[in-house]
Amino acid sequence: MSCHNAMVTQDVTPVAPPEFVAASVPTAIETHELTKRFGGRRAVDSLSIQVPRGVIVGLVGPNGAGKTTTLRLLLGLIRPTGGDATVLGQSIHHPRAFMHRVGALIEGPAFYPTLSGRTNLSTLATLGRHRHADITELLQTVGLADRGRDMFRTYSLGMKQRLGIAAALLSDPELLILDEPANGLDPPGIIEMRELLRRLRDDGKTLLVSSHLLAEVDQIADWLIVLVAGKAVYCGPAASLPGRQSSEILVAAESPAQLDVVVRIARDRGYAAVVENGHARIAAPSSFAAELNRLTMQSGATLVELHQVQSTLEESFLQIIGSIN
Amino acid sequence: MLAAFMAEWPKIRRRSILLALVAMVGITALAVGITLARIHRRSLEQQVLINTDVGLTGTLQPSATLVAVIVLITIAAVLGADWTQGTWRSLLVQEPGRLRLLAGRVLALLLYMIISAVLTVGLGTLVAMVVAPHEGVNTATWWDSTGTADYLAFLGNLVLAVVGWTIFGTLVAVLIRNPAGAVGAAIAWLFVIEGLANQVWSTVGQYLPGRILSVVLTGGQASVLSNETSTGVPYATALLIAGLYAIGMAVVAGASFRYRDLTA
Repeated sequence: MSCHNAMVTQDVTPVAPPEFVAASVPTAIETHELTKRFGGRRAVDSLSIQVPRGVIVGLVGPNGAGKTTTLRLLLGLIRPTGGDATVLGQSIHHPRAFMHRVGALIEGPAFYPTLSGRTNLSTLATLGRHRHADITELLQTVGLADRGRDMFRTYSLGMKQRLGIAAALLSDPELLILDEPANGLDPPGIIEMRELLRRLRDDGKTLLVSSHLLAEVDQIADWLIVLVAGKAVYCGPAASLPGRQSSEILVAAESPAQLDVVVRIARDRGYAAVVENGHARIAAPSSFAAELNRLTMQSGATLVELHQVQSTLEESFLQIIGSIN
Repeated sequence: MLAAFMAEWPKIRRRSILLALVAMVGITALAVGITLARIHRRSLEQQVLINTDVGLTGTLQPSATLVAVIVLITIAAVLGADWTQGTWRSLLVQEPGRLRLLAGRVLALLLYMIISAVLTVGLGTLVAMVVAPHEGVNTATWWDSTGTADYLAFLGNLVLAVVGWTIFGTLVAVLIRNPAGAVGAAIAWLFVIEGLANQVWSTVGQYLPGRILSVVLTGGQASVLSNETSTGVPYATALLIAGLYAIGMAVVAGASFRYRDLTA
């Protein structure tokens, strides 16, 4: 499984681990040179990505990167100017062929303000020929069981968002496309949302989640697509995002003198090391940790702490954006 | 399409749409009551005509025109609001067949409008039957065989006009994609553009959609209680042209909805 993009020279070409590369793994989404122009502006520019099934995919990028436009293209709400794409094996030019297997929340929840949350869901269930019996359960799932009969316009932003998620789940979809699902949620709500998304993934569903909350995406995404100016600058396993492999080893020893020994050992092996806030920070791969521990013990020093610090998605993302700029 | 039709009914129960029915009924009842209460101030010819078999339909006809305008405004506002509220995208996720969705929704709204219009005329008739005897108007001729036929023809024409105004309202909403803009454009078309066209070049102006639908609504006859003269377009011709307009507008609205990007 691979991603072609027009920015491979940016040294952000994805490296997919073997479990994702198997040709037999069916894709949930594939795009080939997908392009959308609005006037002279290319909102999505020759986008070629592949998304495996059964994973949470984080779609990240700066404002105006083309995230929402890409989602709209995949849902058949707008038509591509060029290229093609398939969703669950069906062309996006024929959304009726796949949309009954897809749930979506795009650009914020949109419901009828003077209808209750429950009635809004009921009309959508009728329209999509879904089971009305599931509505009560869905309202409970998203934490709106007590407010289902209240008018949508009386809902807070977070409650509206929850109703949007419930609507997306009406069809018990194989693929969920969620645009900023955590928008407006309070911290407990964000945690609940995270757990819900993981649970859905564990049930075998594929989730494509667009978000600007990189820390949130970092916690849930198995697969990442990084969009910049309508192009995919990375599409692959989250763990393989360039910059994330460049890790540090953080070490604490029994005494400052012993910490100096640790630093000397690291430097002798060719790694940069500094003492900072009572810890030795060593720019080395995780594979060096075991060797460092052994060498430190042989020199008579005792480590009280040794762990690997991996760069966050935010750091990697900024690194990618920085390299492009 | 059936699913879209069925899914529309809970939305029709919204207060904003029910208000259209209240407006129709209120305006009609008021107009009929006032018309009959002030019949003695009208010309002798009109006072005579009100006592004939066309008396009832003549009383109802002016308010039927208002009903038609309310239908147009309601349809344009209801469908236009789905763009500003962003609800089209929620609906299209459930029913991606755009023409099925639009057709199902418009058919449900059309049925509601027809029921509202007929109910309105029915209540207007009741008001007329109650008020007329107090004003010395003889209602017996209203319900003889000719009067009943005229009343039924009036109802039939009203239903046809409601169909036409609904399609017109749908076209405006789909093209403008905004409730205020759609209502404004519809009113501007009817009262400004068609009005000017009729003044400047009446031979062409009388064939414009608003005028043609008015001819259909009135059955090609000027109201017996109105000082307006009928247009030069015969009823049968107006019916044919209205049918062509309806098909043309439906095709343009359908094509626009089917092929334009949904960015709202």
